[in-house]
Amino acid sequence: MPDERNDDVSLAERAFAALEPVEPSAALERRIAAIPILHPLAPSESFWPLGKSWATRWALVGALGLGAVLGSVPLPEDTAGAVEVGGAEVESTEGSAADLPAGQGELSDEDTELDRALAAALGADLGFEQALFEESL
Amino acid sequence: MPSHPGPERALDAALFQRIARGDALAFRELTTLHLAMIVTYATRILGNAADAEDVAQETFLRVWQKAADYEPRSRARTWLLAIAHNLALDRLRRRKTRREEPVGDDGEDLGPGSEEPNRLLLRKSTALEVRRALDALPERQKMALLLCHEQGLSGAEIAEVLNATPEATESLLARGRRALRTLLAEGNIDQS
Repeated sequence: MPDERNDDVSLAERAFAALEPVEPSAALERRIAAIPILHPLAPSESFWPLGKSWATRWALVGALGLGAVLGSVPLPEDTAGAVEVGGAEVESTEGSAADLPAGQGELSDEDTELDRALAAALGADLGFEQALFEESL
Repeated sequence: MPSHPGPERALDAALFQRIARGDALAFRELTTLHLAMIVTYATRILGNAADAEDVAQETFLRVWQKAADYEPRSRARTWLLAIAHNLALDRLRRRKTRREEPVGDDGEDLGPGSEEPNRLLLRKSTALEVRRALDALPERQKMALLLCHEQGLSGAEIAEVLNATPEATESLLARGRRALRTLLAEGNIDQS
């Protein structure tokens, strides 16, 4: 029985060795070479720059939610420094000008020249605006 | 039957990882290695070059799209042959449905009373005789023999491709070889 089986195996080996080889055609090779071009793969990962793990993602979502809740709480209004002008409350610009570093609150010669040039070009009355500004102080 | 060398599978896994990342060069490398094998197997199963090339193209398209699904427990050639095998089977079934041909019984051995040996005697080409003998075999016996003797797969790998148990695979191989011997009994092969 084993001899018969070996004979069968041997015959099958010879039979398959006698088969003519099959070569893929050039057209098939071209079709297959075009697969990566015709069927580009979708990105495997979605774009998410802030953390890859779910724990990090949930921490970020939690932080954003907390920020939204705290941001909605109204803060006490600071009315000091505000003045009434014609019934409307106007913020004083005195303090903010004083907070600026020396030299930044004042108009330089170049700025003045620029204002004049703009006034000449646009026909604006800067004198009126200057008077209104001084009145508000 | 060939063994399953570890380094081969490691190389296959690395190749498939590169393909899964969209590396067209890795895909080209895989194609160069295995295209002829897939075309050969599909041609033997389908007996038609055009259908076989369609199956080969579809096989490699699936590989390109599903490379991430490759598991290194099987060799690349086994995985590719399994895909090609299923695609070829689908095509055979569609063909049979269209032509309303009866599906062959896997358990049926061809006896010496078959007309095939007499027809085979008339053939001058040994290759043609072998092909005809293979075509006369029940489908799964033919596939098992092709995978074993032409593609060099082990019993376990053939079982994987055919989705059968190792015992059923061994039985298919034994019956297939016996039937092939019967069919070729008076042909050139037996005398060479």
